[in-house]
Amino acid sequence: MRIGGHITSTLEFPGHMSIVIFTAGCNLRCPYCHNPELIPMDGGEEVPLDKLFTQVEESSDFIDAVVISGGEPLLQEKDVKKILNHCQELDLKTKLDTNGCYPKKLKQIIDQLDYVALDVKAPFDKYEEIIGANVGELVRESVDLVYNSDSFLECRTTYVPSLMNGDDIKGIAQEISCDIYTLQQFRNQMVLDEKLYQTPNATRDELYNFANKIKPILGKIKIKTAEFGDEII
Amino acid sequence: MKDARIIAAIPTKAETCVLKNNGIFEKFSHEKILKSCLMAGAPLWAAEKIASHAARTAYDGVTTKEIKIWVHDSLKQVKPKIAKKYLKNNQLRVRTSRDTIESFDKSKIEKTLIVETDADPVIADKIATEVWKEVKKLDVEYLTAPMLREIVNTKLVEHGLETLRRRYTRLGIPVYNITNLIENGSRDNANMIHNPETVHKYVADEALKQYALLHILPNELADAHMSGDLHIHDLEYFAGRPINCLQHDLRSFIKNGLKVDGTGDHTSVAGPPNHIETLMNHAGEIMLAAQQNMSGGQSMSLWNVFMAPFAQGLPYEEVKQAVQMFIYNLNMAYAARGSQVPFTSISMEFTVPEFLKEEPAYGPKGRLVGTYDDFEEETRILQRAFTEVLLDGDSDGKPHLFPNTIYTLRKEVLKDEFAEDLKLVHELSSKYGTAYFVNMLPDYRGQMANYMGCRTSLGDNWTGNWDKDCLRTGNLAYITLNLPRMAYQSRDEEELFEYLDSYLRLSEEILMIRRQQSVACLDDYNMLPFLTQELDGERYYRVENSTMTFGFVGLNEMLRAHCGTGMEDPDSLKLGLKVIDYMNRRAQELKKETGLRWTIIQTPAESTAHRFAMIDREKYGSAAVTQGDLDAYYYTNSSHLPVDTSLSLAEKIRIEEQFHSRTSGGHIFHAFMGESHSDPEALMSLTNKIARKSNIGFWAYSSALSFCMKCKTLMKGLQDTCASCGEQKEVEWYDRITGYVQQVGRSKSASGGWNAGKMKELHDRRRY
Ligand code: SF4
Ligand SMILES: [Zn+2]
Repeated sequence: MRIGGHITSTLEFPGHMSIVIFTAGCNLRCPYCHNPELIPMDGGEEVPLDKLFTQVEESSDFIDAVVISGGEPLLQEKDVKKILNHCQELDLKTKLDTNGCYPKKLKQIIDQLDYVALDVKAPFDKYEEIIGANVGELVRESVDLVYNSDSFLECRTTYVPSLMNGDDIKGIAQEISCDIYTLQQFRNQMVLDEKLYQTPNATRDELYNFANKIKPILGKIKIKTAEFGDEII
Repeated sequence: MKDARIIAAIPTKAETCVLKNNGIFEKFSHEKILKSCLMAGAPLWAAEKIASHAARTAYDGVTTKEIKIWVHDSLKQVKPKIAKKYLKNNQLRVRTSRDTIESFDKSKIEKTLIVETDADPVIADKIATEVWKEVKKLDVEYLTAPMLREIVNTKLVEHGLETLRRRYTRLGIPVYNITNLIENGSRDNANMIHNPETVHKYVADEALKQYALLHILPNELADAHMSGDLHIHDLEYFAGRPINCLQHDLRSFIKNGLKVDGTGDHTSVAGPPNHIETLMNHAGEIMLAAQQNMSGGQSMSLWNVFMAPFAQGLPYEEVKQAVQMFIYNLNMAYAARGSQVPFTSISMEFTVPEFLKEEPAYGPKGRLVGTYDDFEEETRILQRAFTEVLLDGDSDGKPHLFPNTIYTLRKEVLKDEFAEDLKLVHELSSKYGTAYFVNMLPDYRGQMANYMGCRTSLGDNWTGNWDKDCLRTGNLAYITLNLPRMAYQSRDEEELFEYLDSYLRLSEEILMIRRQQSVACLDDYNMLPFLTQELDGERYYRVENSTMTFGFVGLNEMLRAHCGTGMEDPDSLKLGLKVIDYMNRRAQELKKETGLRWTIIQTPAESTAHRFAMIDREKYGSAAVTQGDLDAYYYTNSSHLPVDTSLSLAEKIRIEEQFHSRTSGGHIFHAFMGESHSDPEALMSLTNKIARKSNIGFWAYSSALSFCMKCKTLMKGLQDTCASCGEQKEVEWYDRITGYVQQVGRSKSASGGWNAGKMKELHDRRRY
């Protein structure tokens, strides 16, 4: 499997200690992607699955869960499936981070997932305009699939000031159903599209205001900033 | 021959110049001679005559000495008594250390040499005479006592009397350094700010440090420190404040009341407290008072259990109010050595531990009020109140940096019943990173182990009695070995262990001298009255149970230098463990030989790790294996993995836990959170796992914080810019320095803070 690395985290699976595996390769080119080195299919390095399993096992005394993140993990869905099987054996919880472009592949493994974090990058009909790929309908399908499964669903949007506005956030909120909705802060330090270096970081206050506006629609909202951490609104 | 200087000094051609002994030219003064003759008691006619004669005879370049001889001879012809007085008046004056000006007196040098250095009177006379000759050559108005002493010292050196010189010399600090201290302060200790008290402290410290190196420690041992083979901590306190830290027993003061000076002669004496607020006040004063007698930290263990009887029947809000007062007191007592906030630690229990349940409990007025088992609810309430107050932070929202708060995890605590309490503590960890955890589950534990924020630790494995082993005593002193240097000097493993052995032996000698000095300060010099006061029929401080400890720095770099790979390599690690085992074996032998309590500690190497690395870089160049770069090299702390290790958290735990059972004198595991912040519930899950599944004995989760001094916004992670007001300069960082959370000193207006080595380490730290 091609992976970019793994870390131990207290944040990636809320309330749990997790080991996070970053898979390499992505089908999208979001201008604000902050892991651009993970986008190419040949990014990261080839790690044999059994080696990866050993690393998970060695950590298993100190973790509750495994998070598979990317890049887009579902580009390597066969290996993802094997990791999930292995987690079941070790009695570890599982979480998948996905951009939602592969509802069919997602369907194959949804029963093995405790938690799915799904990017909703724009209102479904504005994907083309905002991230340059017309995949909105696929994402909608993924959201519906996970929401109607036993898995916990977190939908999340990175708010990028120069690419979208409050109406877009509201639009997203009206189109989805999820267990928790997260607004993430755009940071201009590390981005794919150089033009975005000029875009100011989103502030906590901006996110806080959006969150309050959409709270009546979605219920549970979280905002995430580098300076103030995770705050449930 | 007139040279340029003479010409320059002549205002008119008619005037004559006098050459003084120090090579400076001065105009000939008729008046000066007249005055000095009159002062000696000569009649006016004689004075006039002598002065005029001198004026006529003087030639350009005549010396003061010559003039003095003429005057003296002429006066002698008038009256010998007047001549004698003239001589006396014109003798060299000395500004003494008693702030008086006296005539130079050779016999005084002789006398002081005999009294201060035990010099043989014949030698003393000889030296004094030679000094007199030397002094006569000088043409100065007066000498100062330090100048004279330096001349004496020079003579002593010339005669090879080095032992006498060491006794006779004067200790102190160059003018330049004092100016620098006043203008810029020092960055040696993260706990100190720049103010008049710290200036005083540093000046005194410098003299006392030199005193220890010169006078208390034999050359060989002083050299071992200076050259960086080992590090003697708190050298400035070696002579007069030799005892390091103390674990208090609050019960002693509940029963007996409090005399902060130890005797009650100079301060008000308080009887046994009657109210929780009084006891809270006393608890703070006890630590403040004891640190006047000691060089290290002050700690109270089982704090909430011993405090519990005073909380009986009180509403929660009142308990919390009392705790809040205590915590603010500790943080605002700007009164420790050189106006530091005293280094305090408080250890708490989540529940009354088994071994305390049947112990007699002392309450208001020092009365027996049952056993501690009766105060389970109050014990828990106090812990909760304490944690809540810490979570609130100060009124600006910054963390309270003291006391270091230590939570004891026992088997019975890791149950659902305590989930709420544990969650609150982990919120504290997540918010400020200030909580520490003691793990009582591993096999190497007895019933009790107590730590301090600086990580020194005691356990009930000395006599087997928790009270004797863990309370009213502490670490007496520790010495830190420079492990990497052993590797640079050794060709093979055998040599490595030979070096280790020789460094250990030097350390033993130093620790024994420090102990002797401690015992003398306690018993003979009567200078530690708080420690020597009698409480409950015995001396409060139990020196017989105090620990003498070997510490170490840079095991990782030692292994890299010797094996080519660091601690992460299993083979290297094996050798690392062997090194620490060797130190433990030596400690065991010493216990048998001396009957004293010897332990091993992972040194809290605030500046030592930096000092060793800088010296070694200088001495061994690129052969030295160091962290950091040209600006600031440093060694990895004790047997920790390097701060930028790429190992996972689990791998780190599996390696570092092996050292905790081997370092009973103290250790810590830093779970540096690579994330800018952490989730409290996830941390709680991790705590549970570390306690159950590892041999880690003591740990903390560090989270870095940033605080905008301008608009008082607290932020997670190390931020360059304030997220609220955009300020860039006045954003201060907080992080854990060798053990406890401290201000880093980033902001423009910060004074005090981390030294260069630690700053570098902060930047290298890999947060996972
Ligand atoms: S942000 Fe995510 S989905 Fe977008 S390019 Fe980067 S990895 Fe792919
Ligand atoms: Zn600000």
